[in-house]
Amino acid sequence: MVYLYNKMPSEGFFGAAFTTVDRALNWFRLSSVWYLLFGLACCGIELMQTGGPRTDIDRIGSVPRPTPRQADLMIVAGTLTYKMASRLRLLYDQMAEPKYVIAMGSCANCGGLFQLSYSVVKGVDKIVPVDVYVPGCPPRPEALTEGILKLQEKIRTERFLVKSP
Amino acid sequence: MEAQGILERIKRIIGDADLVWVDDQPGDSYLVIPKEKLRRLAIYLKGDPHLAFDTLMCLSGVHNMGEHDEMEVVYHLYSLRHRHQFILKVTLDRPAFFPHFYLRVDSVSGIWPAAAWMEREAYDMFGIHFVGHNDFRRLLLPTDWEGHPLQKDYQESDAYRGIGTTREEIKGVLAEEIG
Amino acid sequence: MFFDFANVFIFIILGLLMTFVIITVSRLLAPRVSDIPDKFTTYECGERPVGSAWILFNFRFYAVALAFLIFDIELALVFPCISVYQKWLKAGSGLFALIEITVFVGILFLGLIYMWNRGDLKWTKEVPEEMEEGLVLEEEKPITF
Repeated sequence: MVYLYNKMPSEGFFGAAFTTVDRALNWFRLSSVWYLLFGLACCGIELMQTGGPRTDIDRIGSVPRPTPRQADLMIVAGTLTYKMASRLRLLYDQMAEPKYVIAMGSCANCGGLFQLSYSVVKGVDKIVPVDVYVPGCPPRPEALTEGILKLQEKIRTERFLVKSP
Repeated sequence: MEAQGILERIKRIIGDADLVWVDDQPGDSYLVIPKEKLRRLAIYLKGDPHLAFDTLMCLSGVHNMGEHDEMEVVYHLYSLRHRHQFILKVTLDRPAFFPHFYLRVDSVSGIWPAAAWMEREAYDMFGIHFVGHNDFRRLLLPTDWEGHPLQKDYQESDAYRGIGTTREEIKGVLAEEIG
Repeated sequence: MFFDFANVFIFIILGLLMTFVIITVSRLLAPRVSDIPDKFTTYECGERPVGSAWILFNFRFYAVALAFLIFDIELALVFPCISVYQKWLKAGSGLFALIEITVFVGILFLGLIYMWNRGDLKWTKEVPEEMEEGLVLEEEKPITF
């Protein structure tokens, strides 16, 4: 039944209907991006504060989930070591589609401060595909919030029912 | 008790041979002993009621690659009862062929239980074997890691289980700056 | 009377239909994920599970669950009696119904008293004094050199 999706009309009356459905679906999804708690190091503290009372990402719909089964987003906050890399991949696989990854902090982006270390993975995009990179050491909660808003922009432009523009 | 007093008591038990007392370096003074005398000395240091070194504060490995390739194991001891401390060092030669045959020291984990994990860490980072340890394996690095990273001639491998170890975009830049 | 049965029947049909339709539509519309076998592993915070999850439960859970089940069924059987009690009262056999239901509840109540006496209703039981001597741990001796 999935093959029908590629044939959905994009113009005319039905086109308008389906593109509106697309926009509605995207709005539903971007307004409740639930993130998997994945604080590995110091960025984890800033992640906690981003969910805390002052910079409250619950107001844009993002609540923390401890299990990957209920999460849309994985915020990798902290330094990833080779020992932890297999666990990261397994948790990423256990999340249900559609899923997104934010690499938070310089250690998650490129290995960061520990560029020359023997035990640090030089960037989590060697393990999982990353959608948004948030630089900082650690990024302020406002910076992480902007990262999540950028992810919402990305979700807003996704196409589900109508594949061709 | 002062360090000289402790030294006198030690010399009475294990004799003068091969002991080197170093106290002209900046920092604390320490006693270098041959590795064969380590176990007896450790039991004496814990058991003697005037010394009573009941705590092993730290056990660390050191790799010196000056003109002579050697490794050291440093023991920082402390007595909670008498509130004095002492530092022991054991020096091990590291030859070029089959170094792991020669980097063997008696384990003191039966005497000070804190040594159990400290010795595992020294093995993990330096490759020093502690004979007589009852649960001897790597502590921090994954079990299938090859090599001992804190050795001065450690070469990082290109990949670990398929994960590359360098960031290709900045490989050239870093090599330029560090040389 | 038949209208009540038809009510229940429609409820059953709708319930079954809802379950099956939701699962089937979800199965048809979902993206294909069978090529990632790791997705179906048990969640254990990133570690691969070792061994079986069937552990030996303490007996007290079984005892409490058994007692609950028995009295739950008793309750389910008492409810119809209550709903027709008014009719029986008007027909004059109210006392008969009362005695019958009291005997029923009373027999099961005897079972509850038996459980109570045995101490099966207590979550932590006290050990009688004769058995305590075997359970005392020896005092640790101080370490001397």
